[in-house]
Amino acid sequence: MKLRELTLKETHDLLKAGEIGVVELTREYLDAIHENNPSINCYVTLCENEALNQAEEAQKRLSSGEENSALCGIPMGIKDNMCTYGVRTTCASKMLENFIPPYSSTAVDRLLKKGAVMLGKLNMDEFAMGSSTENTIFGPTRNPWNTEYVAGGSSGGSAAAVAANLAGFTLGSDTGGSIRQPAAFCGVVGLKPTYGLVSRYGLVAFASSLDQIGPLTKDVTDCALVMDEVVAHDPMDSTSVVWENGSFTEDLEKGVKGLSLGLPAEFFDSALDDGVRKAILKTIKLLEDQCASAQETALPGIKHAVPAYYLISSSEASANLARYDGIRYGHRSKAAKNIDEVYRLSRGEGFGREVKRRILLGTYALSSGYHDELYNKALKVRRIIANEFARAFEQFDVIIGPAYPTTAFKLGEKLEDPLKMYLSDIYTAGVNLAGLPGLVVPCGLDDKNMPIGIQLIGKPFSEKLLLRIGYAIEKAVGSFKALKNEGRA
Amino acid sequence: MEYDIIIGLEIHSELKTQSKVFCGCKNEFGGDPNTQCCPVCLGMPGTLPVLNKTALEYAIKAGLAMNCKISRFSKLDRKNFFYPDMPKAYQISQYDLPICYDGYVDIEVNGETKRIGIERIHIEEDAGKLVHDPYGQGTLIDYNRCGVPLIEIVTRPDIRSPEEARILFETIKSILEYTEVSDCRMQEGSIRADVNLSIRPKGTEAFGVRTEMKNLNSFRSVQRAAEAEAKRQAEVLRKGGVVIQETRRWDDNKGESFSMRGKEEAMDYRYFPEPDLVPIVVDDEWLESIKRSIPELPQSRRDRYINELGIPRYDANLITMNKRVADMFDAAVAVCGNAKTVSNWIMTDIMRRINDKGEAVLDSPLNGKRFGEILLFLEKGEITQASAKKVMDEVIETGAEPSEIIEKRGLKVQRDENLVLDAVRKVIQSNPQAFNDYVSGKEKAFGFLMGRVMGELKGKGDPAQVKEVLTRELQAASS
Amino acid sequence: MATDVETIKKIAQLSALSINESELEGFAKDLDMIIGYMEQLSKLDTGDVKPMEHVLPLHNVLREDVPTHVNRREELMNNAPETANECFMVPSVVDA
Repeated sequence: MKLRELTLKETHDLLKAGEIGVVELTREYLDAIHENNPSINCYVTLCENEALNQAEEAQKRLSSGEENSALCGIPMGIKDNMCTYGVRTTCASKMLENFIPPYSSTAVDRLLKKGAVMLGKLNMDEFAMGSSTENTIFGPTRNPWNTEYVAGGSSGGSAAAVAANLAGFTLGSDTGGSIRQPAAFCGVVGLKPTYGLVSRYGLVAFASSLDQIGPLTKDVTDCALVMDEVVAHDPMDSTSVVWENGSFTEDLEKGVKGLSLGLPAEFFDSALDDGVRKAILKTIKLLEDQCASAQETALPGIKHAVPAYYLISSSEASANLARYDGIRYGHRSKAAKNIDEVYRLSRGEGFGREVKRRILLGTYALSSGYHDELYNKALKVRRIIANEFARAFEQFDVIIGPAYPTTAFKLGEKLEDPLKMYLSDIYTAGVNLAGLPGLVVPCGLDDKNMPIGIQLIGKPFSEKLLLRIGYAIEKAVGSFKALKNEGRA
Repeated sequence: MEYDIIIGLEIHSELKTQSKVFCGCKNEFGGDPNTQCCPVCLGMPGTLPVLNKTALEYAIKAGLAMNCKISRFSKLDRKNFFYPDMPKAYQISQYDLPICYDGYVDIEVNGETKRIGIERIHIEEDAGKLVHDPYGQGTLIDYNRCGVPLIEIVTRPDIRSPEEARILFETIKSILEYTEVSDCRMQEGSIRADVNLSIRPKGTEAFGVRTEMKNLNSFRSVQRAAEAEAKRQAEVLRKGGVVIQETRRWDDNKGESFSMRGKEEAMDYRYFPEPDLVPIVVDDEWLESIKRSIPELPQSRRDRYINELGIPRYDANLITMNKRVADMFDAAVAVCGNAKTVSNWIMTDIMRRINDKGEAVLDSPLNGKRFGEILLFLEKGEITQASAKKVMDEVIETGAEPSEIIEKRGLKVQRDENLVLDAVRKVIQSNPQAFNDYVSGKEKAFGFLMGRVMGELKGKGDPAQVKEVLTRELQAASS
Repeated sequence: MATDVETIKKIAQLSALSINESELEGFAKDLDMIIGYMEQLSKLDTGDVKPMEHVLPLHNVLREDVPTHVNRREELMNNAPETANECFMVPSVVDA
């Protein structure tokens, strides 16, 4: 068994016991990346020398007993929208193609301080805008299960790297589903934490009130272990909260007896693919067999989640991306002859089509005349959706359903129709609007042997409960490793 | 056709916190370019703002000092526009829920008190500085100032003359200095005013079209600009034209304003609540503690001078208008003892120096204590008025102590009876013509002889004493 | 709410984005379709629900007024495309 096929937990146990070394582990990952990245294209920047240096350091700290963290010595990949000191951070955009931040994102910093080894930066949709990791200057990331299919987006590189065993775990970011959907497409575990749990400092902002950093891992236990290290209050982020509920691993094995699961009708609508529906319902049945109770419910506001999400996220994005002008950093147009052209040409040349589309949409929604009708209205719908979820959680412990209407689609299949792409965010976007946690775990394969993910949504700060249920599902269905064997991927 | 002038002011004042409003960079004037910057105030990707508590409290303090209501629930908003001195291409400001609102400031105009409404005060961040490259390559940007906390004070259009506008600007500056939230150094640009002005035919109610003149940074230019603009608008109307709503740039050297048409009007700022910052909730306890921390304000200090020290209202107003002058007054009175004397000298001498050369004198070695010492010598009759002025000049220039200077230059008034008597007798003897003139009733001759005696005493005679001795000797000599 | 080429030009101006003539039609079509879809929101009766700007009930997150930063000019200006005299440089800005 290759070392890189082990879970984080298994790897840690071996490292701690001294049975394997960090450098050899890192070396194996790096070799695998050299071999496999060309066909999957999940890494866009490889930090070979730095990683080996970090590996040596981590080994010292492990051997001396100085560092006990489960993450010490574990090789990781970081989505390329998280700033990493001295390492190129591009957001998959021409605008930041050569940007080398003189600072790091807090989440990455915490992991590095605990001895995690950074292998490199991962592909994504430009500025996190997209659902397929095809809107990128580096070319698309391909799904390791079948390279004719997308890995999902915008954290496609993060999901694919885990699925291809090219990282012990990765960090992604989720604004409308960007961790959960790729996790589902690639058969790995992905968690979007409650808004505020993980610091956004250093995460290149897309939509400030929706963005969250989260882990993508091989199994639920690994996910909990990463959460333990990455969740912390950050004084550099005003929207950061304090977590005082202990380790995320605490409740994993408690089982699901007596838990109530809500199935919103809106998550099982006609848009949902039959194969996905079957797998989800089958999984829910498995939970019922373990004495959880499932019941239908309704979240009528979800019907409006997509327009509300796109209006709010594009509005915030139009302001967040206004700073990219080539004056202090980033792409500056060589054709600019005056200050006006520095702005317009640099931005015109630096941004891709989808990014421009969203900036235009956001500027429009905020402009006088439309501000009330579009932006403000969306904010009101947001509250309605959040209230509906809150009411649902009075009755249910968790809301359960699919992460996406289909499994991974083919490369190029959805690029022509942006609106169609947006509409598919229907199961995930509402979760960001309400700031809730959302966990995706693999629960089966479709008839093309492509992974299906099931989504668990909880009330704020209920990650431990979600992980507990995810753990139970994993036990019943098997983790992605088992699925891989089943699907012979 | 006579017109009413309607003026409103928007005053921007930097708050003198230690660090910037949204990051920990130093808030200090005059540093080497771009040495007081960080990823946050440079608007680098992924950075986030965190609100400076003191900046917020200073804004509340300023609002309380201007009799404002304080918003119990307030928030920050993004004001979106592109300009090279603004790294994020939006300014974090406050839109519909400013921290302070509905206040007033009383001003003294021609001996009368007038109340000017304060519409609102809100917090925002300052921008960087653009400097023209001397070698003509382009424009250089220094972001040291970017992120310094500002309050914007918006008055109601209650001002009815350019003079009132100037006085209001002075009064607000004074209040800000007294609350110690700003140092208001106009030459450093830490306080500036925008003038909004319109005119309407006398006796009518409707407001005319208003124009805006931005970034005036002296009291004089506020008044001058307002005067010129009122004239200009009247001319436009007299010729049958219409006043165009626009922003104009005031050129103080040329004494006229120029249209910046097309720049500001089309601006759609697309304000929306700042998602990176959470709302501000001010409770009673917090408000009380801030209230208690407000030092004595100019108005009550002025009233104290009037009631307790017997200083005339006009003088008290002028002295207390500038906190540093009032502090100088207090320090001088503590030494000299005679408030009226100090007051007169401040009004005539110090104010004159300030009008001529700006506030440099307040930074000079001539502090309140030394000023008071000089006036004490004068009070005791030990030096003359002329000498007092000379000593003041020298203290400013050299920083030497007044007593040293008086000693060194031998400025002490000469009161030795014998020496005076000798001088008087000598002068009478050597000026027979004048003596005869005096005896025959020519009053002017006395003055001539006085002058000679003072000269003999090298200007150090006490005029009263000399006069007395001279008169006595002349009587004696002529009898 | 028809979104035509003129509208795109105006919005592009507001967002400081240059868009080629050849792309204008495409963007206009895209945005027309997208905004047309968004219109369903304006038909929704939201009653007197207040807009939700923040998801967290956080207030008063404040920082003590202590200067923390040091002179980092060199590394902060490393990514700048054009500099002069220790300043960032742009083509001449009128009334600077």
